[in-house]
Amino acid sequence: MSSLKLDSINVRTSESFRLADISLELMSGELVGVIGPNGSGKSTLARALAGLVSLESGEITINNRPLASISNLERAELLGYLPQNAGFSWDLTVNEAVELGQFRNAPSPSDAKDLARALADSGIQHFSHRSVHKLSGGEQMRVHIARLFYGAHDVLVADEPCASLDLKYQSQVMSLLRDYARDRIALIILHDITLAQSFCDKLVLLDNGKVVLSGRPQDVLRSPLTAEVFGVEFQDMDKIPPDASKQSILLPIFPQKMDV
Amino acid sequence: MKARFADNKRVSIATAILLTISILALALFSLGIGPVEISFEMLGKLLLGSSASNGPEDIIVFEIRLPRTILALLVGAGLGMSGAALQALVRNPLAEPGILGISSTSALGAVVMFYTGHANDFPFALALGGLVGALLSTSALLLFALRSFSTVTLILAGVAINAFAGALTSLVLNLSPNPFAAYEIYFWLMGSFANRSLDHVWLILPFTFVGITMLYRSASRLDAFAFGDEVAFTLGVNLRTTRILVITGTALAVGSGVAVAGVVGFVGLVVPHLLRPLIGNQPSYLIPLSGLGGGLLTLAADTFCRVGVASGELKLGVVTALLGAPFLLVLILKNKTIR
Repeated sequence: MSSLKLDSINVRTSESFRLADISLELMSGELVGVIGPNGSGKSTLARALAGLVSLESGEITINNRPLASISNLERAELLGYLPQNAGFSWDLTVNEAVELGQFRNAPSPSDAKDLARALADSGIQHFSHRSVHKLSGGEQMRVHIARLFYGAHDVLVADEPCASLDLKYQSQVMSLLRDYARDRIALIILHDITLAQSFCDKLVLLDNGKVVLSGRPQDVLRSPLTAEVFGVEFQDMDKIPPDASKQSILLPIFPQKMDV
Repeated sequence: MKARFADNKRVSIATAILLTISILALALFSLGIGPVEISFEMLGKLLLGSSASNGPEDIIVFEIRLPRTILALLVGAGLGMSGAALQALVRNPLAEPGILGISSTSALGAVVMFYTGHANDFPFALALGGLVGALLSTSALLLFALRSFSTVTLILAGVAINAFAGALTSLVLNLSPNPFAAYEIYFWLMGSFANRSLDHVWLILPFTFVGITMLYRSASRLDAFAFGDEVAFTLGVNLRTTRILVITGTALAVGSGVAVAGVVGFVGLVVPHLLRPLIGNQPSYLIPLSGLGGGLLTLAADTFCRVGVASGELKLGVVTALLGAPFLLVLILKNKTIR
């Protein structure tokens, strides 16, 4: 059973705090969504978990080991990271891109089988020899996710994996991440509240680098605090009052399982 | 720490074999051809040491042609590998050894030797000046590479160093005491392997060898840069070590090349682009094969310099650019994967 713990972490840039006193505890089996307005510190949180920004104080522990004491290669084993606007520096085949998920390890006899499974789980096995530059945005994102699947990390951190994807691909990608989180820890930065409500088991609301609220999606999204942070109202789609203001954000009901 | 990349493995191995055979064939051809033709039979005897004569063939092959052939292969390999490594490190297909200012500072070092009149003080004065120049710019670049997290900063620092060294070289030309000195410098800058001896080979061999080894060691690490610097870091790659390997490797391999041969343009830029359509973009394949390709292209260009034009010897830098530029244009038109 893997665990991820943030113990009052602080991150600051030269002029201001980007994350202030954040404490969270994540257990495997949960898909945790991090929401918050632009500039609230969501991406900084993801980058701090990936080891890309250093903490001013506090501690991140993975499986009860401090992140700061873990070597590069071990951290790569434990944690997989998908940055915002993930792309490809140069053209490669789908196979080559996904194989990089095991970059830290020497080739092993089970590689071919694991690779085939990661490709199949992400639904991209039928174009595994195609070049990534010829794929659509949704297909490319599934290649990134297959890379993380193949990496078989205990913890997955993804920064806005659904940004700029079509609706169909959004729910495909979220379903894949949900599958991943079944026996692992997954923390997903999300911009889209409706996706967060439909797919996440738990939501964390950030504002000004602080955790404002965390809990079950329906509780977080119905809290007046959330409405205040985003500056809009949230309404359930099936309970729209006749006098609803046009500025409300409607929370649709996504099917929980979609075909990939 | 290396994946298998089965998609391009076979074709890469085949390409490596083909390039090696071509290099051997071209090397033999280049040793035989020239104002004095030497038959393959004679070459075989000389190279295998079964002919002990100290005849003219012996001197022509071992003291005139062989040093050129070895230098062309060494310098070309360094240029090709550093081009491929830099293009991967900065994730820009336009990157080449020149972009970091290493070629131009190395050239500046040699030009200063010309200007101060020390070029002929001792046999390797020019080469030594070139090496010092390359090491100076490398130290400056390493300062940037170690302090900053961003690759863009590194390129900008290189561009600045390049421009500064170029300006200083122009200044030296501007201030040169007489037109002949300026001509001498100008021609030297065009690059050539003419009149180089085996001593030149021994002088640069340690530097080139260490440089090429460092570039080779960077190759599989650079595979992880396929998703950018940050993901490379989270895949377990030490970004600083990789940058140090690429920059120092380029400085040693290219700096030592410029020190004995002057500036040889275009090889570092064009060789990786020539190979990509065949073997793909994976640095772990592209970098070593660009070494073979760079050696082959430089040797071919040097052989053409020697025997291509009846009326005298051409400058190597001129020929590599003349051959490379149209090739690159055709590739860009035909192949949309160069972006």
